[in-house]
Amino acid sequence: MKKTANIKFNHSISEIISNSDLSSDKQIIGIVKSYGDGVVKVSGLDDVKAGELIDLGNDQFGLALNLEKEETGIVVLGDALHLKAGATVKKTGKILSINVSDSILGRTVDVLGRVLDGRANISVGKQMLLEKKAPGIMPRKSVTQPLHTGLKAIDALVPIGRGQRELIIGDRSTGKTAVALGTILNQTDQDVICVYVCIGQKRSSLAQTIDILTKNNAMDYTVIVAATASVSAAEQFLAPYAGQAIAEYFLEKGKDVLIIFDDLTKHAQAYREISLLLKRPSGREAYPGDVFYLHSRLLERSCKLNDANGGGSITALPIIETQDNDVSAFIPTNVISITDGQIYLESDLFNAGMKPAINVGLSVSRVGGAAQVKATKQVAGTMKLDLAQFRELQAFAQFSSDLDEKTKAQLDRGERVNAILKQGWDAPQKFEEEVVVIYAAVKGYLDLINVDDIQKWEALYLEFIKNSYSHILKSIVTEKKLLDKTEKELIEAIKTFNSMNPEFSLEVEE
Amino acid sequence: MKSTLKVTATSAIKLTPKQADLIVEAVEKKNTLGTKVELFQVIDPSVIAGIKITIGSEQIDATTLTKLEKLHTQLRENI
Repeated sequence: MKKTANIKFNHSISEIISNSDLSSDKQIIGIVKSYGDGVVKVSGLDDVKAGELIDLGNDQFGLALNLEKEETGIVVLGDALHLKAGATVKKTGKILSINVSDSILGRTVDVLGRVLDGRANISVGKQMLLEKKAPGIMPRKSVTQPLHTGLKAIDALVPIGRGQRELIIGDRSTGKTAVALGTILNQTDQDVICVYVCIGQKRSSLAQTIDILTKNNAMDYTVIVAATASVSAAEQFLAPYAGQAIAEYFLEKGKDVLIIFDDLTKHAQAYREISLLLKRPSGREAYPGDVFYLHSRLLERSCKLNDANGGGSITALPIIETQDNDVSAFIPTNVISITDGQIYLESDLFNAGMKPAINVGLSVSRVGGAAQVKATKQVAGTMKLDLAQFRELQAFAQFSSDLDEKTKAQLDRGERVNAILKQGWDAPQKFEEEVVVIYAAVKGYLDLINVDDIQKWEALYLEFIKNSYSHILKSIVTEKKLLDKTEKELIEAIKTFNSMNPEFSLEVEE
Repeated sequence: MKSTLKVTATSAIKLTPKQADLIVEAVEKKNTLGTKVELFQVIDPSVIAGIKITIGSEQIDATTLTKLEKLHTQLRENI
């Protein structure tokens, strides 16, 4: 038994050996002049192209970035400690690309497509270029389809459409990644492929992220491109482009893709590091002159294609971390101007228990409104204004104890609408659920509910609607809007629920 | 004065004069500039056998060491 297996093994080995290609073709080589700080200076390497992959030996690769008269500056991807002055490196003739096939779903890969999760290699599919020109004007189409995040505050007030680029900006630990992860979780059965690009994050955080996604069965439709804090700056610099290349593979198949860049501040810093080591002239905050182009060429590749081109889309959610709420720093202003709006998270709100800590006044979505479902628009139409008025009144009410009835009523309403926007990031809601909850709040059916009990009220109310009035939810899903008939039924449902659960109500003073 | 074209040949053992002449002849045939070809010999036992010829930044590597390395990567890719 053992012997036959051995013979079989020997046979297959000899077959591979006899089929292997050992021909020696002409190659272009370069001689290493110096190597330090992740940058190799090489002489020779005739006809090298910008952005070409260079074989450094020992299975390590570099990227030719600086082409000069006598020398070529190569940044090392990974580490190349085996290199010595005088060592030879080879041209590969390949422009940086990544192998993508359908089997990449659910996997964690690095910028060159090498697997990091210890499982089998990605099967050979298509080589996708990391640096590719964004789709032109003609194949594009304006954003028409919503991408639901499952978070009421975002879907109602700063709606995101498929093909949009919406920035998530805020200080450290204000829940930026949580918003992005919640959005991935909400894409179950939405036929959206998710790509999560991790740039310069801690390995422990990434492990946690993967764990959350696996537990919620979200890895089935998600790809993770990892360039953690411990990998070279060059890999961190390339990671978003690799993610975008993976997204484009699915875009070509007419799929809707959601890509998250977590985060682009670290990406800009990695590029600054490379640029300074390559001795490129530095500008504001020591960033090189082309740092704007760095992000614009990346985010421009997000798009919504017209039907003649497959009708797919790439929605990008880049994340930017600010220092001390300073959105006017160099990188934040750059990315704000490139994207189609921003979700602004504030640490003060976060500390006050408002989660997600979205500053409704400063957050905008420039194109998502067109893609918002009519039902959501119907219930959330005046919500932004109401909330703005509420905040104004709130500041004003701090100074006066004597308030007229109307102001008091407005304050009460605002408080409840605000409370309804509080939501755990890992508890995304379907849009029809969001509609029935927001409807109850903005139409004043919560005015007599205790503010502290609203979360409890919401959970029970949704349960109640799902069990006894599921046809309301169905009607919203199929009609995409709130019909008069459905609205009447919904009012009736809310009233029934409130009378059934008097424990939530405020005690009415006689 | 015409400059010379430097050709480096790396092998495990010293080339015989006849072998060296063959290399120079072959390069001269391809050299359209008509410059004089000058052969440098490097003896490096680590290449095991075969020859590696380098002209400027072009290289033809037909040493056993490189062939073994190629076989190594291809075996790893296929198994």
